[in-house]
Amino acid sequence: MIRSLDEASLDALREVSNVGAGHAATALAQMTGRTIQITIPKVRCLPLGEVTSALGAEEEPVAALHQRVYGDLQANQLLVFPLELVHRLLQAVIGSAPRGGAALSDLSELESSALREVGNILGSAYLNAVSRLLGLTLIPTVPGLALDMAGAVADHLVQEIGEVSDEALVLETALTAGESDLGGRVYLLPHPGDLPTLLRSIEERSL
Amino acid sequence: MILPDQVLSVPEPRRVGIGQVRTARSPDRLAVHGLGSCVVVFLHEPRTGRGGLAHILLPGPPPARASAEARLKYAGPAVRALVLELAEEANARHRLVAKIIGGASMFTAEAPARLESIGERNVAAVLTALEELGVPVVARETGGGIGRSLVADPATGLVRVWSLRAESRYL
Repeated sequence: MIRSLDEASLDALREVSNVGAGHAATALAQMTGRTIQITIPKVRCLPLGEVTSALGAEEEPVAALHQRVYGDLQANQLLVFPLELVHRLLQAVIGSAPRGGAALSDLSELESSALREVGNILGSAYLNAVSRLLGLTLIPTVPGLALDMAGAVADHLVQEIGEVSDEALVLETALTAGESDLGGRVYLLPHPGDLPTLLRSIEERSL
Repeated sequence: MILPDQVLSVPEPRRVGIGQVRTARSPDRLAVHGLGSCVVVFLHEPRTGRGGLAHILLPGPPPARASAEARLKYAGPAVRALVLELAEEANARHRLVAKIIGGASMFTAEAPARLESIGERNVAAVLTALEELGVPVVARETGGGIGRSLVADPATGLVRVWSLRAESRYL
């Protein structure tokens, strides 16, 4: 079903991803005082078993922020920062970083709430832009935070989708600073049951 | 000329993806990398050196319309398929032993909070299915908030488990 999406729909979804990630990149640039670029969005329709490896190398250490999206379109949103870059991100945002750089030791209360706030701001920037573009109301939850292997973090999203579908639509865009010492990836996984809503909005807006 | 490396080489462990059930015989090994709130069940038949692994996504029960393949992402059908694969006869099942890994809760402060996480429900569903089939659980490393990787070896019945926070240990 999802895999039968035509090329025009995939193009439109890439544009949705582009607009969302563009606004997230602007927000990250304002927070860090750095120039942030985005890559060309990837839109993929995958069997459930392949979603995990699409979200990163299975054992890659990451800081991940997950938000559920409610409203006219249900979705899961995931922000992934390579763990080795997290201390730079925190340094840029709150002027302090975990001792020992990229250590996996638990972050302080201040550091983890700062990371959650970054997730909240970037996630909302992305969703607000998509909301305006498509004329859909999108309401994100407070982000959950995990510091662990990318694959382990991805289980959670696969479960959300696996309840209702055997395949997933994955919108991915990478955010990078010029020297790639600061950046991450943003994913939006629309609820498979809401795909008709998404495609109808795209059509109405002639994307 | 045969180099020492080649003589000693053992096959790479075979990856078992979400919703898959796989069996293997010594010297082949089975692996899962980056396991979070999913649950892995490893069954071992000590006498024959056979073993198998199920990589379970959801506690279930599966919807009635689910295909045979799609049902394997649920605890009950996956455990049953694995047990039948290794011990078709009911009276052979007492020779099987089970080890369970995973079922973590990866995200903190997620809303809306549920009474029981999906990881915990996965573990509970697997335990129920194993009990119904009469297969004892001899070791488990489940729950908590950490991701895990593992390699299971049917030759010895040992499962090597590691995480970003802890060195390898054997179950």
